[in-house]
Amino acid sequence: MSTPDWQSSASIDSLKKYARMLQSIRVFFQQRDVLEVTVPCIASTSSPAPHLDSITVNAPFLDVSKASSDAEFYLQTSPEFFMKRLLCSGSGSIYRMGPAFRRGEISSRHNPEFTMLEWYRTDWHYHQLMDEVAELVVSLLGELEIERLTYSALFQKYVGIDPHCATIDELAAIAWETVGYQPPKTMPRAADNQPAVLAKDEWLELIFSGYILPKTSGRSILVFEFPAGQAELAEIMINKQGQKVASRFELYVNGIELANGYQELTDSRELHQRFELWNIERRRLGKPVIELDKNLLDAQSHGLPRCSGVALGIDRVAMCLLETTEIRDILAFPVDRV
Amino acid sequence: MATYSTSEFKNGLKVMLEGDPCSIVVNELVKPGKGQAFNRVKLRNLRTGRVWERTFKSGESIEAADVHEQDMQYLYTDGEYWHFMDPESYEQYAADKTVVDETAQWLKEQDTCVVTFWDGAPLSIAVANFVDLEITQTDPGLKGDTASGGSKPATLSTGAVVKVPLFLCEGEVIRIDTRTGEYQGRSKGS
Repeated sequence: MSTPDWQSSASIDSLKKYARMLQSIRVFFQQRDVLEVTVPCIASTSSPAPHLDSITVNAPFLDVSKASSDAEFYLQTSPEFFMKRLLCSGSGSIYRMGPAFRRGEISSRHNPEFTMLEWYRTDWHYHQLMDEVAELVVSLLGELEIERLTYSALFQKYVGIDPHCATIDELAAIAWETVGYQPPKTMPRAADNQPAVLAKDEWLELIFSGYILPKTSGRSILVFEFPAGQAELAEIMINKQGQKVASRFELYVNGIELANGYQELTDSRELHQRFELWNIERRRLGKPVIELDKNLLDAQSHGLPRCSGVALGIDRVAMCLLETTEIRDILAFPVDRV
Repeated sequence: MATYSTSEFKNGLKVMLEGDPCSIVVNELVKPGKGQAFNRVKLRNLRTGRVWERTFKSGESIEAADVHEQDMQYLYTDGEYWHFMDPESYEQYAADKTVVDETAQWLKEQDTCVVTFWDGAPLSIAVANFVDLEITQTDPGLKGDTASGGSKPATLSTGAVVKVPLFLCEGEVIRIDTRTGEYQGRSKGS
């Protein structure tokens, strides 16, 4: 059932349920004394994360008489950097619920503009934050059994290997068997000049997202201890098996990613190094390099308190609540109606 | 050589895979929040009809297949080749058994069908969902027996053998669903 383009894509009943969900979230954090903050959506720089593409806008704050300028601004892919500057400013635990923007992410469960709930808990270990994510999701979706599994346990169960010590040859063989992926042999490079070879973590992601997650349909799982190469901005630690892992977790419901959280990296020098490496990776992928956020680096040099943070895709939680697999069932105006 | 990037993938797009022309039937973007994006794709091999599941890294390109479809008139078969004609240019094309395959049993001379071409040569033939064909051989009809629900084999003018109700006789023209090979009724034209 589809409505005319001028009309809301989501039913009014769905929008009412969505609104009640937003209210419940605010009550949840109010009761826990977590401060709601508002941060800018447009900024002079953005995350250099290799697989995030920002939507850019031209000189929005300059004199309107100047038609255009070389200055580019970025719609924020998440509120993370501003929130970390607040944490460094002494805010204590905070949350922000609002829009985030990612270029090119369009599918049955992606919209380039979406609603993200991100929150940080000072002095918390990431397992404590996993508890709170589970509590919030259960309070919104009702009784739900949420399992906890390591990234490695999932790989061992579904493809019989330990992802932390698997070789690229083993991963390539599994990827061919499970999802039919083969690196192009004789084909020229893609239009955007992407290289043909996959790094080890790309092989892992391919098998994880393409094969393992769809197998967890019908379950709700918190996955933790990601490979160190997928740490993003999480602390790297040594697990019980003596392997280097990221103190990062994700929540998947029915195989769909709902949340991504970290015990946050506090070392400002390592942060700087990771950003530099990301920009090298961006160059390898043929993507524009992003100027590092000096304010964030200065803030973290001043000192980010020990904390854990998580981002939860609110539209996807609403999809679970309304039992739909189409994001357009819960958005009033998805990208093809704006 | 024309290529398509994953961002151009959509249903019906014709691409080359492992040397065979294929048509995309499902294209799904897999994009983890922080990770590399992939396209999970189902493709129908246009030569064998088999469906393949493949994954491509977003941004990769694959070769386009030079495939197009055209309405053609079926002329005749010489036993080895089936001959078709473009009704506009009168140009003729011959297709062998591997191309015509099971469709041969529904091809009636002068009928229009859809020929899929790959690199300028016929790749597959599709006939209309319903065709009207004459019964050339069947056991004598039991007149008036329209109620017993029994059936008998009947050979049609194209050589196809189908099950028909007992009351039908040789010389009658019947309508067949070519997707299932089932009898649908007497032809409206007869």
